[in-house]
Amino acid sequence: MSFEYLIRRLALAVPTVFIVSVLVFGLMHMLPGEPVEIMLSEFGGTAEDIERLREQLGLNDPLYVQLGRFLWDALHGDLGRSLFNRRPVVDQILVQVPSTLQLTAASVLISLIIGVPLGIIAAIKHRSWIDALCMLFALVNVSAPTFWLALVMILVFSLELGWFPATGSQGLRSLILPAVSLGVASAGLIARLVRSSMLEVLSQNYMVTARSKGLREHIIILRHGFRNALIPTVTILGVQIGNLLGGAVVVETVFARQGLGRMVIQAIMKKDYPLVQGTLLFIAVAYVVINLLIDWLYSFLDPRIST
Amino acid sequence: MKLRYLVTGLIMASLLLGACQPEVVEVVKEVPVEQIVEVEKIVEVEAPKSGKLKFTVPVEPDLLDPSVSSSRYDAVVISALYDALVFRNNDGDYVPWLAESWDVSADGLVWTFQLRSDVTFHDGTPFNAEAVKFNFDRAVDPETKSQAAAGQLGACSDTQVLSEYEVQITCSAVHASFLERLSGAFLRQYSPTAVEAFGEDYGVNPVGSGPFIFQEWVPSSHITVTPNPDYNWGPPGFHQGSPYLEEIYFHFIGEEVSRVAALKSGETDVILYTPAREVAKLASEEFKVKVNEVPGIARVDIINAAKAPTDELAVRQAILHGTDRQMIIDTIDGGVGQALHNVISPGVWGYDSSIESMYNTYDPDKAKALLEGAGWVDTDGDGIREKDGETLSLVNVHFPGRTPGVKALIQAQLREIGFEMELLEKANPDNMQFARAKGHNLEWMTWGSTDPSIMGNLFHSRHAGNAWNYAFYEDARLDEVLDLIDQTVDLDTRKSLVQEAQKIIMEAALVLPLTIDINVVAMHPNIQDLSFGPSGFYDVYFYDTYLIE
Amino acid sequence: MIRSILPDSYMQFFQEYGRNIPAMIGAILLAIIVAMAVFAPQIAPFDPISIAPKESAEPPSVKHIMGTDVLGRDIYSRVLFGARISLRLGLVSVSIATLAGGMLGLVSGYRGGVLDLLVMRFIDAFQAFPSFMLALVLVFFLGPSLFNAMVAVGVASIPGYCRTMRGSVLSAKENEYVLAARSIGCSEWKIMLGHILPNVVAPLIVIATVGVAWAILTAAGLSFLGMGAQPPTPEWGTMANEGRIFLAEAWWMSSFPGLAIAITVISINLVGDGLRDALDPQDYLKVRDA
Repeated sequence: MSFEYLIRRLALAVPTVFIVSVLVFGLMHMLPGEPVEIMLSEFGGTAEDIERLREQLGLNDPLYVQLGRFLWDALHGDLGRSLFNRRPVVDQILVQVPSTLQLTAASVLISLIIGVPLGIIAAIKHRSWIDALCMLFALVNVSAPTFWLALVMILVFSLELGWFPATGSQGLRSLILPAVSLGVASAGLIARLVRSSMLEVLSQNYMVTARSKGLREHIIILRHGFRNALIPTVTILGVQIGNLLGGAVVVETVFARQGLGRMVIQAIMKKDYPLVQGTLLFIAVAYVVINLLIDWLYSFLDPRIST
Repeated sequence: MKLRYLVTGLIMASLLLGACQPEVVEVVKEVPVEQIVEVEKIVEVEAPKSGKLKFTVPVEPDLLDPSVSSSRYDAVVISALYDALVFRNNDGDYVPWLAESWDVSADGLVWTFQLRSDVTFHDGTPFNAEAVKFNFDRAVDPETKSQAAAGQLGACSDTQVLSEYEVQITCSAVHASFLERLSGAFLRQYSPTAVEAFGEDYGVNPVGSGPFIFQEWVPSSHITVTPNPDYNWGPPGFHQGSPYLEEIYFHFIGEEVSRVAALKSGETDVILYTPAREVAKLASEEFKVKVNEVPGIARVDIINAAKAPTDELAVRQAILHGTDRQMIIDTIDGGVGQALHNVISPGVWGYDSSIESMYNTYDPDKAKALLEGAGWVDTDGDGIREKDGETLSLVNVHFPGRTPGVKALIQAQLREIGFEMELLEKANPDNMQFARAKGHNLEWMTWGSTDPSIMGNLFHSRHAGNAWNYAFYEDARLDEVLDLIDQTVDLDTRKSLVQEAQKIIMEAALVLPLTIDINVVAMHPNIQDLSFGPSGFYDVYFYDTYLIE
Repeated sequence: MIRSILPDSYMQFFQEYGRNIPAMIGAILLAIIVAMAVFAPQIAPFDPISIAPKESAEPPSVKHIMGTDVLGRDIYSRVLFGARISLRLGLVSVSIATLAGGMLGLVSGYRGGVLDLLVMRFIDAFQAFPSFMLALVLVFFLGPSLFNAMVAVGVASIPGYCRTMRGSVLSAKENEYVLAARSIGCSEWKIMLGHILPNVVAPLIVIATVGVAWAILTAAGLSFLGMGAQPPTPEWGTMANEGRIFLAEAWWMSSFPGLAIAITVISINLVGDGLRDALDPQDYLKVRDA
C-alpha cells in the first residue's frame, strides 16, 4: 500500500496511543486502594511505615507529575520498575511475551486448521445434512464460554484420558489444550465466513463460464472460492487476535499458564502501577501494530481497495 | 604367705568378675530388638546423605533482598540463602547465631552485639561489624525504599561500629521485640560488596552467608541454589558444616490442585499450603503430612465494638459462646486443624492457655441467656431477635475465595441463637477501607506473627481508623498494657503483660476466634529432617535435610 | 440501503423468518429459557441460596438432577435462577451499549467535523484493547459485583454500536428524504430521530441480539475470574468458578452452569442469524429482483 497511507495511519495511531496511556494511568490511579498497604499488610506496618514508603516510592507526588514522568520515560522506552519486585517492567513483559505469543499463534493456527476445511466442506455440500452438521459445530464453538471449554478439555483429555497435562507453560503438549480452548471460537467464525464467501463464489457468473470451459470443479472452487474467502478471514483474524489476547486471561488462569494477561490481572490486584501501566500500554501498542499489519495484508489481497 | 593373699585376691577378683559377667551376659541377652535395629541404623547413617530437593512455593518471590522484601514467599528462599544475628529456637528462647553474645543497656535503648569472626559471605567478603552497619543503614536509607526491614528496625536505626566484630545499635524508643525481629527474615545479613556491584539489580543476585548459594533465577520458572561448602556457622540444634542436599530447586505453583497433582506425580517433593481435604488421601498414600501452626492472630473475626449491635458486651460474648468451632473444622477441613479459643494462637510468645477456658465449650444456651438478659427477644416469631425496633443483625465481611463455607456455617450457627447475618465479600483495598469506616460487625483477620506485639497493631486505639485496628475498643488500661509490651525488655515482666492483654481482650470479647491458621506441608516419604521454625511456614530449616532412596 | 420497517412489512418479515428452520429452533429454545427464568421461583425444587452441608458435593441423582455444590445447594435450582441473572445482564448491558453507543454514533456521524474526529479517536483508544480485557479493567475500577459487571460489559461494547450507528448515519445522510427535509428547514434533531433513526434500527437489532450473547459470555467470564457476581449469587460464571477446584472429584459443579451458558448463547445466536437473514437487504433485493 502507498507510503502516504502508512504514514497517515501511523499518524492517527499516535494520538490514540497517547489517549490510551492517559486513560490507563487515570484508571489505575482512580482505582480505590493503594499498593503500599498491600505491600505492608503481610508483616504489618504502622501508619508511619505506610506514609514513609509512599513518600519514598514517589506516590505522594501530584498526579500530573507522576503522569508526566510515566509518559516521558515511556517515550524513551523505559517503562519503569515494578513497585513490588523492583525489576524493570520491560524485562518482565518480555519474559511473558513468548508464552502469550505461543498461545496466540497456536490458537490462530488451530482456528484456521479447523475453521477453513469446515467452511469449505459445508459450502460444497450446501444444503445437505453435512452442511447443517458443520454449521452446528461452528455454532457451538462460537457459543461455548471459553472457560467452560477449557474445563471440559481438562476433564476429558487430562484427568480422564491423561493425554495432555492440565497445567504448565513449557513444551508443546501443555500448549495444545489451551490453544484449542481459545481457538475453537474463532474456528467457528471462520468456518461460517469461509462458507458464505465460497457460496458467493459458487453462485457467481464466472463460475458458469468456467464450468462451460470444462475445467474441473474442484480446482475452480478451491482457487476462486478460497481467494474470495481470504479477505474476510484476514479481517476476522485481526479482530480475533484481540479477542485471543483478552480471552487468553481466562485460559491462562485455568491452565495456570504464564502470560501477559495473567500478569496484568495480578498486577492490577496489587496496584503495581508501573507494571500495569507499562503492560497495558504495551498491549495497546502491539494491538494497534497488529491491526496495521492486518490492514496492510488486506490491501495486498484485495485489489479493489484503493489506498 | 604372699602367694596365699595373691591367690585369694585372684579368686576374689575372678569371683567379682564372675559376679559381674552374668550381668553383662544378661544385659547382652536382654538387648531389646530396637537396640539391635539401632545398631544397624548407625551403620546406615554412616553412608553420605545427599539428594536434590524440589520445593514448591505457592507464589513466586518478588525479590531476594532482605532490606527491601516484604513477602512471606521471599522469606522462604531467604531462609536458605541468609543467616541472622540471633536464632529463636522452638522453645521460644533467643540464642546466638551470627552474634556470639549481646547485651542491652538498663534503659533498653542500647544493644551491643559481639559477632562471630569466622563467617564469610558467598562472594568471599568477610562478615563483620562494618557489614552489619552497611546492611542496617541501607534498610533505613530512603533511596532503598525498604518495605519490611525499615519498619522492623523501627526506632533502632542508629548502628555504630565499635570494633571489627562489635556493633552497637541505639534505639530512640524501646523495642521489646527487637530480638524477635533480628531473628526474622528481613534483618538477615548480606554482602555489601555484592550490593555495590549489582546496585538496583541486587534483588535477583542475592549474596548471603547462608547454607546455600544462589545459582540462578529463571523468572516464572524456578530458583536454584547449591550448598555452601564453607558453611560452618549454622544455628544451634543442627549439624555444623555444609548442608547435605546437593541442590534445592524452588518452583512456583499457585493453584492448590496443581500443587497436589505435582506432588503425586513426582514433579515436586515438598508442597506448602496443602488443602485440608487432601490430607487423609495423601497420608494413606504414604506421603508425610505435617500440620504446622502458623502463629499469630489468625483465622479470627475481629468484632467491631463501635457498631450496633456488637457495641454491647453481652452480644459479643453471645457470639463467642454460640459458635461451634470444632464443627467448622470437622465440616470444612475434614477434622484437620485445631480450634482457637484465644485472641492469639499458641505459637505466639507469651500465650496463656488458661484463657481458653473462657469460651472453649460451645454453649448456645448461655448465648441465648446473655441475649435475653440484654433485652434481645424474638418478638415476631421469625427466629431473629429484636430490641427497641432494631433487629439483631450483623454484617460479616470477608475476603473472596476464602472458604465461604466457614462463613455460611457461622451464619447458620448464629441464626440458631437468633442472629441475622449478612455476608459481604470484599477484596482489598475495598475491604480495608470498609473496615476502617466501621462498616462491619465482624471482619476476617489473619495476621501471622510470632511476637505478641501484633496485639498492639490490632487493638491499640491509635491504630483505629487509619491502620488495622478494626475493633475500635476504647480502654486506657489496654492501651497502656499494649504500649508496655513493646517497651519491656525483661522477659518475665513482658510475659505477664502479654497475659494481661489477652485477658482484657477476651473478657471484652473483641475477637471471635475460629481456628488456628495452619500450613499443611506434604512431602515425599524420601525427605528426611526437613523442619520449620516458629513461623510454621517461611523459616524453613534445610540444614539437616537429605533424601533417601 | 435497508428499507425501513413499516407496518405492512411485518407479515413479510415473520414469513421470511419462519421459513428459516434453525432460526425457529433458536426462537423456541430461547422462549423456553426465558420461561424457565421467569418461572424459576415456581419451578425450582430447592432454594438456591440456603446451604445444606450434609448434602455437600453429591453427584447427579433423581433428587438433584444436576447434583449439589460444596455447600449442598441444588445446582439445577441455582442454574434456573442463574438464567434470570444472565438474561437480565444481557439486556442491561446491551441497553447501555445501544443507548450510549448509539447516541455517540448518531451525533458524531451526523455532525461530522471536529466532534466526529475526537469521538472516533476516543473510540479507537477504547478499541486499542481486547474488549474482554477492557471490561475486566473497568470492573476492577468499579469494584467486583454483578451490577458493575453489567456496566463494564456495556461500556466495553460501546465502540461496536457507535461505529454501526455512525456508518448507517453517514450513508443515510445522503438519502433523498434527508436532503429534502433539510431543504425544507426541518430541525436537526427531528431529522435525526425521524428520518435517520428508522433506517438504522434493523442493523442495530441484529447487532444487539448477538450483543446479548456476547454480554452473557463476557460477564460469565468476568464472574469466573471472580470479578463479577459474587457468591452466593447463583450466576453461571460464578458457579463455574466455585466448582473449579473440585473438577477432579465433582465435575458436575462447573459443567452444568457452563452448559447452560452454551445453550442460551446458541439459541440467541440462532435467533440473531435468523433476524439477520430476514432483514438482510441483499436477500431482500434478491426477492425484489427475482
